[in-house]
Amino acid sequence: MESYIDALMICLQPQNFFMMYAMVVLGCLLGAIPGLSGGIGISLLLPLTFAMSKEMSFCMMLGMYVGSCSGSFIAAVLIGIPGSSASIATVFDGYPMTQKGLASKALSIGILGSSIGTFVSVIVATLLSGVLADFALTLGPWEYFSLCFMAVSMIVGLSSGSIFRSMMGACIGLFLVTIGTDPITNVTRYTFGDYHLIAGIPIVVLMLGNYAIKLVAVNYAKGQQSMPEVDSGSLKGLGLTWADIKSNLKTIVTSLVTGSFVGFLPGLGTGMAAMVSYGQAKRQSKTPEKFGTGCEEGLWASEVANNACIGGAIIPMVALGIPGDGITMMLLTALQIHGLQPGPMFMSQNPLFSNLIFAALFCSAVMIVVTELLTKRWFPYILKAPYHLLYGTILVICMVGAFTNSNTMYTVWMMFGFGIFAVLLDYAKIPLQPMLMTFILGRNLENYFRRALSYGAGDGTLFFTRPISCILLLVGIFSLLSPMIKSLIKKYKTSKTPADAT
Amino acid sequence: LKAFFNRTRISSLICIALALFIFWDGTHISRTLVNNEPGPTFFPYVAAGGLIIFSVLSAIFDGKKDNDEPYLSKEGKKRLAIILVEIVAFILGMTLFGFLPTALVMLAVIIMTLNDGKKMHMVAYVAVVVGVSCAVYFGFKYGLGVPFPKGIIWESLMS
Repeated sequence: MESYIDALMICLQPQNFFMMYAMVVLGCLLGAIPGLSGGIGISLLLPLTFAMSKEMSFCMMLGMYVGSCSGSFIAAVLIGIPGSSASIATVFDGYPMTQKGLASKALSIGILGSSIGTFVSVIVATLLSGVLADFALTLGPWEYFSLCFMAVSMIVGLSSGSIFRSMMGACIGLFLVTIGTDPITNVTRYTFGDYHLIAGIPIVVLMLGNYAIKLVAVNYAKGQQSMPEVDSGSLKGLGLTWADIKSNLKTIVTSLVTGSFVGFLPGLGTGMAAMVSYGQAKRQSKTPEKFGTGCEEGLWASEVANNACIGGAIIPMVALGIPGDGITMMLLTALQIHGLQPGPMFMSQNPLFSNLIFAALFCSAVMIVVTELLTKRWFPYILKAPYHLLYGTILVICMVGAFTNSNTMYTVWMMFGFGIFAVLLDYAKIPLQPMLMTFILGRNLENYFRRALSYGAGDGTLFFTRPISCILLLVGIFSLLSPMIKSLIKKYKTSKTPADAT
Repeated sequence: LKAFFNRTRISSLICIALALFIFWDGTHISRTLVNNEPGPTFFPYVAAGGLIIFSVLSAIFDGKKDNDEPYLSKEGKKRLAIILVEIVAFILGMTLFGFLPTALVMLAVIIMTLNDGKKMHMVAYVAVVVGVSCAVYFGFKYGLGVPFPKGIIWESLMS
């Protein structure tokens, strides 16, 4: 508790507080604008935090994380276009409410739903992470390898499109992470005699190329998005009463549990949490026919769940060093950049800093709810942000970000190369997420696997004879096979249906 | 033959070629084995082996379903080429002339390109070009102590 209060005090130091608030607002803007996201924001922030203290860096990045998750409902409610995948389910009932002239109420539900989701899930994360980390300390390299394998498998299995292409992406990521010096024998691999590659591919450069450069290039090539006019009606007042909250309390609690659990599982993400929670709320509702026509329950379900993912995704990141979603992947990278080693030892070795993560999330949640409630009437203006100015600015920040990584133009060219590489992967329909996930966890995968074999005198069966490792491996293998099993069942059913009919 | 070599199969072939290259280049890595562990080439080989297997499976199963709808229209490809050339020009400019002059010029060009020739608020345009370039330069250089590329030409003139 003392450590948590100390961490809270660090967050409240003027410079950290101000930067966190600025990033909360910026994150909210990025989340609100369709096509941009908190992921882009954090990938641009990563290199810029090199010169900052790790406390300030994390206050900024976590502020942006919370801001972007919260802001994504704005476009969904006002113009029926989700700011990100997290708010797809928000469109179903949020936009019809706006069309009915209830925009103010819909926005208030979005604001309060988001903040309830973030607050409660962060409190749960604060309480649970320590317990999970203590448990993780009893595990060995066999279990850690299996855990990393499971995380990668879940991302691969849940990626959109073909499982084979996702696996190809994962293999490419695994190869890319092996470039550089081998962590165990110190032998250089695949550097082609280039000393720039001895330390491996800088993750920040890979992220900037894959997210930012690709975003600008592909979005421009596919044509500019133009925003429809906002029918904001009257956005004055809260538009929401205590009775409204009370009548939806059951949906709020259920969505909190669903969102936190889905966030905890690697790869599912906020979009999935919102959809699962929306479906669950519809099933439990006494009036399911009202869903999709501007039903408050649907909006609460979606918004509470997608923000509850924040706390859920933070738990494995802090306690185990396993990212729960794309943004926590970048936060893990940031930990490494600042010389911290994510993993089960992280909480015991850095009690103050791990509490700072929770405290910063908590402060950001307070900041975003106050800001959004006070500025609600100006939300329509956010959606008028000109893309050409935003994209131009993103490119300039990318150039600086890539340069600061090594203070040479080499990394700027490398970023450009990865931008083209990401476009080519998009062309080949190979999803990026598995590649990035394997790249981030690949080093741990390799280290734990090789250490496990070394400790076990070359005995590979220990991965299966140790119960926790075996369970994790089986879950991972099932995650990989489940899309194939599903498609086989689907094929079987469709081939059986016409035969039955005849 | 053109129908057979669709987008999926071409990308599978490229991935197989990459995997073969990984195997070939891996033969140059010295294999120092420490305490029964599989050595530095094990994981790259796992990646390459996986890449071959899944590329073949993708070519067989996904290749059949690939309707090969174009990734970008002809106009889209042209636009992609233009923006990539401008990014290259930005990087070259940074190398030759340093960050600030290049950012001022290239940001103006890139914004103009991204705007697609639509009517633009000139004050906002100039404000963003000058404001962003200067804010990034001075903010990072003097605020955070981040060094910027000086540019080969300026450096040679100065020396």
